[in-house]
Amino acid sequence: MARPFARSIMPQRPALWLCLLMMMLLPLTGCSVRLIQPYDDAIEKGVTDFYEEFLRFTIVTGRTRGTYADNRSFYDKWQPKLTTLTARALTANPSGRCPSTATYGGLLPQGVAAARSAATPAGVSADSAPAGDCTAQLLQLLEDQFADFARFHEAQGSLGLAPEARAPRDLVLTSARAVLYVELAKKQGQ
Amino acid sequence: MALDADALLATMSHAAADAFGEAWKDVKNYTIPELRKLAGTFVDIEAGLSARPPYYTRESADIVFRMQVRATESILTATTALTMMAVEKALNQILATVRVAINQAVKFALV
Repeated sequence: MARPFARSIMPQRPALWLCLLMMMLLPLTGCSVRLIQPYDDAIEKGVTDFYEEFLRFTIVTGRTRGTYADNRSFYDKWQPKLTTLTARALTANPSGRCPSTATYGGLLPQGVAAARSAATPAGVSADSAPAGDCTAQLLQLLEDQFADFARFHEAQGSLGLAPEARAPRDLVLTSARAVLYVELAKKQGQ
Repeated sequence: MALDADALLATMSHAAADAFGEAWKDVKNYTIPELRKLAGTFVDIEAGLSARPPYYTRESADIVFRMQVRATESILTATTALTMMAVEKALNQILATVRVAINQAVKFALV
């Protein structure tokens, strides 16, 4: 029954139909191939600000071995900001994927889910698989990393944020730089 | 025996080079320095647990190890994104070389 309708409009607009067909097959922007969402100034600025403030926080708090209880306001400020950036990236490309991250081409042969599960202490739920394209996944990883930094700080109890304890700080910064590196590469490629 | 950061870096770099194949040469300028920092954090976790007094609790070290896995995931996801950007650029360059011929043939701006 749909055929007469299709026949009535398709011959008049073959170009439109062909372009629509290609848009369904490939993520296209102006009929050029788009595999990753474009550069976003808000992501670069948000993560750069986070990087600087987080670094300052660890230096200042480390100097006095500040405890989690005395510094909750820092976490309360940044957790919603990072969540918002992740939501922004997911909204920009809701059906996006980041291919090959299931096993990273064999580097994690059991898959990321198994590696996450193996690295998760008993009684703590493992991260769910990040959704969205590579940009959204990178932001989700940074958000989870910061949430774990807060848990780490809390678990340190009266030891607080010891200045020698560089690993957790460096691991959060690694995840932040991963976002920035990709955004700046997009910016240079524009 | 204490962990050797250089040996850890060599092992991780070799595995990453194998995993990313031909694309490795395009992304290793980012990935190798990041893996070097990651190797340093493994050494720090061990040092923090064995220091007298330790500067990590057992519970916090568990969390740091999970963060280590996630940081590795961040590096590999960024490396994947960079390879996708290289693929995107190559595809668009290929399409550009045939754009005129295709658009003339179909009589509209398809490509």
